[in-house]
Amino acid sequence: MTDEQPAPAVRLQGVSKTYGRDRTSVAALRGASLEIRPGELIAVAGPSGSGKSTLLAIMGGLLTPDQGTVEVGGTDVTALPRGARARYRATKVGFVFQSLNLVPFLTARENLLLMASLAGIPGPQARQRAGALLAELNLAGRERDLPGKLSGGEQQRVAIARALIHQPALLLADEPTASLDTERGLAVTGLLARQVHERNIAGVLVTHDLRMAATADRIVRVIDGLLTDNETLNAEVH
Amino acid sequence: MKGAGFAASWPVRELWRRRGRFAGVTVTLTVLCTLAVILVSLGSGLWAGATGALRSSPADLVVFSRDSLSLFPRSRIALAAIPQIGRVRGVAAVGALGTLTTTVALRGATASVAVIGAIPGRPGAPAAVVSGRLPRRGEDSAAVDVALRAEGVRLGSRIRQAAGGPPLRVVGFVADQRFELLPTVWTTLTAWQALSAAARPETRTAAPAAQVLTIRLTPSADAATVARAVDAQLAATTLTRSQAILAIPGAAAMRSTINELIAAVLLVAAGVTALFAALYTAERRSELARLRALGSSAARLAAGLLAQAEAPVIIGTAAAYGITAALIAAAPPQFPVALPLTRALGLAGLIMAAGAAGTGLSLLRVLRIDPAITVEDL
Repeated sequence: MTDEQPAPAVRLQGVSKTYGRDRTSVAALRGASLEIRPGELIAVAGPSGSGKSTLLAIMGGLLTPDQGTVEVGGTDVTALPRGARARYRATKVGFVFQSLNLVPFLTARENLLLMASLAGIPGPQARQRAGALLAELNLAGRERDLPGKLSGGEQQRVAIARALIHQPALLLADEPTASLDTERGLAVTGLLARQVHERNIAGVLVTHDLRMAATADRIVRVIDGLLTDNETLNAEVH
Repeated sequence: MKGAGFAASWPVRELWRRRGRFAGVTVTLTVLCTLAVILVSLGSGLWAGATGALRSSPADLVVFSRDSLSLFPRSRIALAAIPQIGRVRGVAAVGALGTLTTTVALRGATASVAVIGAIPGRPGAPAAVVSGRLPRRGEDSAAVDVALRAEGVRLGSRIRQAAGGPPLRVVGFVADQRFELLPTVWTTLTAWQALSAAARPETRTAAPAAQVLTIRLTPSADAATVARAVDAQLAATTLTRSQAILAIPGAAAMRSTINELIAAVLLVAAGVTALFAALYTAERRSELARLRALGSSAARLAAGLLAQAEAPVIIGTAAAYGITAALIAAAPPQFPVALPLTRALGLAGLIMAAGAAGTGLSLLRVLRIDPAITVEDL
C-alpha cells in the first residue's frame, strides 16, 4: 500500500525577516522552511520574541519577508503587490487574533457578514453561511449581540466562525486562548482542530502554552528565529 | 464590487451604534454651520438691500461727474448731455438716475426711504413690478418697495415727503430693489428733482440735472471703449454697473467683512472636523488595522472615515439651513436677510469641502495604517 501524501497547502522556503538595521537589528526568522498539508493543524510554539508571530504575519500576507517564498495554494504570497495582498487576506486567509478580535460595534452575525462581504460573497449566501456557522459553534441566539455582551469564549468562537465563513485555504490563530482559562482555552483549540480537519484546510495555531499546542497535529518550535519540529527538538535534547 | 454591500455599510452602523460619540461633534458643527448660514443670509440680505436697485437695472454703464469720487450724492450731470452721449458709438440708449434718502409720512407714521428718480422707459428705470405698473412720464407717481405694504401703503395711496415737495401716488410695487438698505420709492426724474430741491435746497442746479447717466450698450459694443469715449466727451467717470455697485458707500466693505467672517467660521468648522477625525482615528487605530488585516482595502477604510467625518457636517448643514429658514420666515419683512439658492448651494459645498479638508490628514494616516500591528508581540 502506498501512503501518498497530499500536496502541501502552505509551503515556506528559506524565509528570513530582520527588524531594524545595523547594530540594533534583530533577526526574527532565519531561513525558516515549513510545509502544511490540507487538514493539518500545526502549533507554533516558542517563547515571547522568538519569531512565531512574525511567522504567522508573513503567512497571512501582513508582513513581507526579506528573503524566501511563501506559497499558499500555489500562489507566492510574497510576490503579490499591496492591493493583491489585501485581496489574498480577504479570500484565502482566516484570522483569529489574540485580543480585540471582533469589530466592537457590529453584532456577532454582522462580524461574519463583514468578512463575507470583504471576500466578495453575495449577501444571501453570506447570511445563510453565517446562520449555519453560528449554530454549528453553539452561538444560536447570540447572533444579534454586540461583542461586549459575549463572554471571552463566545467571542473567540465568533472569531473562529468569522475566520471560516469565506472558506479560506489557511486558518491562522494568534494566541487565541491568551485571555481564556485552561478549560475554555482547550475548548477553543479543540474547536479549531476540528474545523481544520472537517474542512480540510491548513491551520496554524501560535501559542506559548504547550497544553494548547498539544491539540494540534504537529508542533513546530521557534527559537531565536529558527524553526525546529518536535521530533528534532527531542533528538537534540536527548 | 460583488458582495461589497455590507463592507460598505459599516461606517453607517458605527455612526448609529456609537451615536453618543458623534453627537457632540454634530452639535458643535450644527452651531458653526448655523452661524455660517446666518452670516451668508445676512450678507446676501444686506448686499441685496444696499445694491438691489442698481443690480436690477438694465443699464450697462453708469456715468458719474468726475469730481464726485463715484458717489451718487456728490455727482451731478446735466440732462443736456444725454443727446451728446446718445451719439457715442456703441451706445444704444441713455437714461438718468437721481437718488435721495429721505423721510416720508405714511398714515400718521414716518419711514425712511430711498427715492430714486429715473426717466421712464430708459436704462436705469426698473424693468418690472410685482403688482400695478411703473410711473409714466409727467406723473407724480411711484412704484414702491413691497416692504411698505407693512406700513399700510396700497395702490392708490399717497406718499408725502416730510420735507415737502409733490405727493406721490402709488401706482405699483417692486421687490428686491432696495438702495442703501432702504425701501425704494421709484418715481420720475422730474418728481425726484422736485423732492430733492425740497429736501436739500443747496443741491438745486440751474439747469435740469440728474446724479448719474445710465447707458445701455449695443450688443457688439465694448464697455471699456465706450466708457473711455464718454469720459473724453463729458469729463466724467464712467463705470460698469458692477463697478458702480461696488462704489455704493459701504457695499464693498460690508461684503468683504461678511465674507471674512464666513471664512473664519468655515475655518473653525474645518478645524473641529479635523480634530474630531484625528482623535477618532487615533483612538480606533487598532480597529482600523484589524479591518485592514481582514482584507479591507485602505481606500475603502478611508472612504468610510470620510463618510463618518462628513455625516456630522451634512447633518449640521441641514439643521443649519432649517434653523435659518425658520429665522428668515419669522423675521419682519424689512429685516435684511435672504438666502438665494445659488449661495445656499455654494455654502453647502464649501462646508462639505471644509469638512473633507479637515479630515485629509486623518485619511492619510488611515491609508498608512500597517495591518501587521494586529498581530501582537511582533
